[in-house]
Amino acid sequence: MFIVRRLLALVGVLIASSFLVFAAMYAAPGSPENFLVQGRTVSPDVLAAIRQQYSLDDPFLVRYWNWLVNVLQGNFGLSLTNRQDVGELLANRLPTTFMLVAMAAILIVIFGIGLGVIAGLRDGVVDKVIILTSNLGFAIPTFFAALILMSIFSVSLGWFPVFGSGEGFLDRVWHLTLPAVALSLPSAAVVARITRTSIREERGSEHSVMAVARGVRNALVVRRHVIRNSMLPVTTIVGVHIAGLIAGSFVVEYAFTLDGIGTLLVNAVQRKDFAVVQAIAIILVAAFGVMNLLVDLLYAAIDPRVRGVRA
Amino acid sequence: MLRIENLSLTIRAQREEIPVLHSVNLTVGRGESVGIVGESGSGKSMTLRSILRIEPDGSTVTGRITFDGTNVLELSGEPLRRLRSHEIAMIAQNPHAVLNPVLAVGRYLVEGMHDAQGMPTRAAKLRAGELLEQVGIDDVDRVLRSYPHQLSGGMLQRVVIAGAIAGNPKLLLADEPTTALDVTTQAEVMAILDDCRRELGMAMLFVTHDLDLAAAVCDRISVMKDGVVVEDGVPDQLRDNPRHPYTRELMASRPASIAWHGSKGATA
Repeated sequence: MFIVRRLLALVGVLIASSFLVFAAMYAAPGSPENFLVQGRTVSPDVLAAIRQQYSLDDPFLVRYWNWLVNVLQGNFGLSLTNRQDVGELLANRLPTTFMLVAMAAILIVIFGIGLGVIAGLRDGVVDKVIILTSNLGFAIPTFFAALILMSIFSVSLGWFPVFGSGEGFLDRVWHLTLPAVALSLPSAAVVARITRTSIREERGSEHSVMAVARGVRNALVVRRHVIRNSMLPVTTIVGVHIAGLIAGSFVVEYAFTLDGIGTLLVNAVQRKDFAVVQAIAIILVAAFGVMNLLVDLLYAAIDPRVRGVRA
Repeated sequence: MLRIENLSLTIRAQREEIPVLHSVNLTVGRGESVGIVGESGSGKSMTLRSILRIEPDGSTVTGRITFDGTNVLELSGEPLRRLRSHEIAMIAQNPHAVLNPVLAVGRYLVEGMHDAQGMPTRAAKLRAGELLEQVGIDDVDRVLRSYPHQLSGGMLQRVVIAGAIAGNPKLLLADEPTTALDVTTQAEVMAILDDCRRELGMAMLFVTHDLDLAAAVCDRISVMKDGVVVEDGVPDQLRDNPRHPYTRELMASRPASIAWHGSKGATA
């Protein structure tokens, strides 16, 4: 029941946002046919022919409907610039971005939550060092972190490649390690902070204190009462940040010249390649939606109050 | 059995030292019921919490708290844990905060008996049901499966009481156990607590702001104000012949006492 409700909500969000994505492109200045003729002076007849070829003269809602029906069938149309199938274009690019985001997500979970838990449980020096590091990680812009990482680990030490996405799984992991680190830094820092605060709050919570008062061993209180309960807010933050990584990956892809959808999007926007931009925007929204759905499900698994368990 | 001598407690909050208790002296004999009465912030709860060494982080405690001859303030590690699991149990004010919101009620009871007291899980599960019956719960299985947010405060406080008596401790610390409950269930829960205690012969240190309630269930009462015990005595003496002005104030501030004062004034 809970899942069904969430799925319906996700579908609603996707439909609404697909409309926004479609509408926004037409609200933007400049028109696609002007780009297609690339500034050459052409006769109105040619322009009209182009408009007809791309069905630009149809009423807005009709165009939206046709586009939506095609998208639902997995047909994102043709790129306006090189007449390639957008779906194919994306299929070539998605694995790099997906892997980059997945690796960054793993780093965020391991280091963000891990360091946050340690800082929350320890007082004194360990805590201070982790806070300082997290402040630093949060303050450094991603592109700058990318440059520093490259100059240290690729150029000076030669441990990692400077650009490219690699072939095959292990080679890809090797190529994407530095980009993933750069991408995960700010989010890992935020997650570490939230985790630390949450852990501290739960340490002082009445049910943790009373568990101690009942003679439950400290390690068990920490595991069962402090860490488990502190993961409620952390789950939300981690989910939002991982979903946001897809958008953030564009900067990193550019810095490390990776052939992901980020670079594709930047190029498409510059060339006003509607079909590509719309497709990527929809994928972003869908990924965000799915991520949020996963977080909700996880949340429900942890917290009976969210599951809607009633008396 | 329990002897508190010159107990002083200071809490550190934002680098400021806030004195909470000043030389508190108190004793509880075996099977005896002792009340601590005072207004909010008078240090009653802190006195209870320092007995189990769960005062807030960064507090300084001085003085002596001896339980059966050992100084609790010097205990740590396993002996302290054993004191908490087997000798002294506490019932706090708000049961909704005491039970972990993400764990079922059954887990709370099993945690106390299995994880703290070392009883095998299966036996603990069976005993949990018996205990709930003992505190007057009928649909035991439903309650055991429920999560805290599904149950009323009165029901949960019975669960907490069941957990507290599970290990047959020598001393119950009750910190305003009925204050957070609906007025309609207060009397019921109080009666259950008092019955259990008497039946099992446990001593009780009962903290409340309600002098009448304390008088009803306690053998002796200490009146606290601003971290100091200002007066102690048996309930009748406090009621009929309060020596300290604060005790008199407490007596006068009871809702029921207005009429009583009126009649007194008429005869004077």
